[in-house]
Amino acid sequence: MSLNIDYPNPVLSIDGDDYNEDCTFDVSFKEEEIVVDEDNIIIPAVCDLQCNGLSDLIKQGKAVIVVLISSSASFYRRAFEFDSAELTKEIKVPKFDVRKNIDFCGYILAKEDMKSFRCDGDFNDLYFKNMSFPVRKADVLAQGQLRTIPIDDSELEKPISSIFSIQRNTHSDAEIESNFDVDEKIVVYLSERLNQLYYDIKDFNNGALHRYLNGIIAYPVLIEGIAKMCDHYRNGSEYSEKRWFKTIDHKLKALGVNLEEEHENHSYTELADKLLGGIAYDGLLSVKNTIDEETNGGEYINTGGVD
Amino acid sequence: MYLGFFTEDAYDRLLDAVEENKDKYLEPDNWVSTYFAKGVEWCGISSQEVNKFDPWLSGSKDKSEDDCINAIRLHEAFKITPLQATNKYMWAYMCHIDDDCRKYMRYRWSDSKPEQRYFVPGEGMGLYYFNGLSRLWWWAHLTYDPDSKDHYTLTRILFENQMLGKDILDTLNRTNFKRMKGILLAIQEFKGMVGPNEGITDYFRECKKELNHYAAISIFDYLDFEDIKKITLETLIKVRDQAKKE
Repeated sequence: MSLNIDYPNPVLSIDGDDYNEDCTFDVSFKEEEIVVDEDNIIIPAVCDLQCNGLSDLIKQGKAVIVVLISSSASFYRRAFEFDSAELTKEIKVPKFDVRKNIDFCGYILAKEDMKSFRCDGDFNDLYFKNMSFPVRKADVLAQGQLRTIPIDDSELEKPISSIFSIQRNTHSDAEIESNFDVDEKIVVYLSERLNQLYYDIKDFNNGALHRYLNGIIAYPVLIEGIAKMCDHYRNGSEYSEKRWFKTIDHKLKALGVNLEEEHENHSYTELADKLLGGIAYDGLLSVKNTIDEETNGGEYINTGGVD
Repeated sequence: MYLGFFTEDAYDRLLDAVEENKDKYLEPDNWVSTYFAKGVEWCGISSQEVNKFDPWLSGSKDKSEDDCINAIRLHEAFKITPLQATNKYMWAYMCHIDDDCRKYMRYRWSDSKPEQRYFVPGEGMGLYYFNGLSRLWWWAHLTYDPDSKDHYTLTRILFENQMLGKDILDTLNRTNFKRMKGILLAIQEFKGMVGPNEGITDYFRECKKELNHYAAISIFDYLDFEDIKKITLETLIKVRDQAKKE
């Protein structure tokens, strides 16, 4: 729902000046009042309209307050209409029809075609003195603020390893590189030989060296991810909507670290180690245990030397 | 049967190895079930029970002819929610593992890239256009009319011309049933007016631009399907008249 549109008629909005300063419109809700029952997500919406012209049109049945709900991840988009006499409405969104996020935005729409739409005393006279406009049914007359409600946080509860996607590097010669932009996960590209080695070790002995692998591959990439998050909190970025960002943020909060407020106070390395459950120690321990098993099995041959 | 799903890791691994496994996608054997090493967790079974998908394999040279029948069959067999139908791990699992789904996939998509048809590349389009099974389900679901005697009347219109169908689904029309219904009924009526020998894809592409302009300053989702049908039909006629003059 783009907010930067040049409408062919005056539209009352927070950022616009088509109307006088004392005219305002928005439809809002309190997040703590949202209820989820067996079938629906119930959002108690409240309209705040200060504009005599538009209020009169609504009372006359020529305009209507509508909330547009959309969830692009599941191809869902519906307009919920307020009764003409009401400024509140319980919006029931079927919870199995939506995924990830719900976008919520209030509008006032023309309920019928109008040849000469005008709000005397409300339009900004600098632009629209004495002017009237033809509008069609469903044309936008006022637009509220766009709000996004996250609805599915189950992914945030998955293990931290779920935010990584290990893929073979087919586009460069790098042995290992990371990409934080391409997907909801952090993609770690491994060269052909490293990729093969990764999966051989991963499957070895029912995953006995899994922690060691995380230490080699996930740990440094996670440190880089935390650095990007701190940079976001300093300077802003597009990352905050990514699943990897939200998961790391969520899990750090569970560890008592609010990165938004404390991003200057922590070592990225230490935070990554904590997120991976003490990976530095565990990773080396898993190798030691494997070596000990091999040694005790009489198969160990001392071939190593000092670097 | 119960719907299964790949683990995220198994999905990534199979996708990563699709080039080296590409010949296996043409084989009838269930090779994936022995692909992963013992002890590796690669799949799960959900508690969602569905009926078996019985694909129609007519043997026609034009394999897309069967898509409409199979979309309806799959939608009728898999009574799942839209939320469940957005799960790419489930669709990829069914494409790879279920015997009937695999048979259909080999029949329909043997000359396509497995990474596009057996997996779900990207959100959105990956579900309604690329994956071999989910595209059928979503085309049927987005056009399912509970108020019509034949619930799949609109589905049949959408499948009549799949290029046109993709043009329709590539817009926000796919997100609102009233919009889909209005547009599809307008197309059906327009085809009746121009006759079977005149293509309408180009007219609809021009019409789509005008509808997009209209929808940019209006909330189309507020309109009834009859309003949308009227707007669409009038625009198609206007576009055709203009094209005839040139």
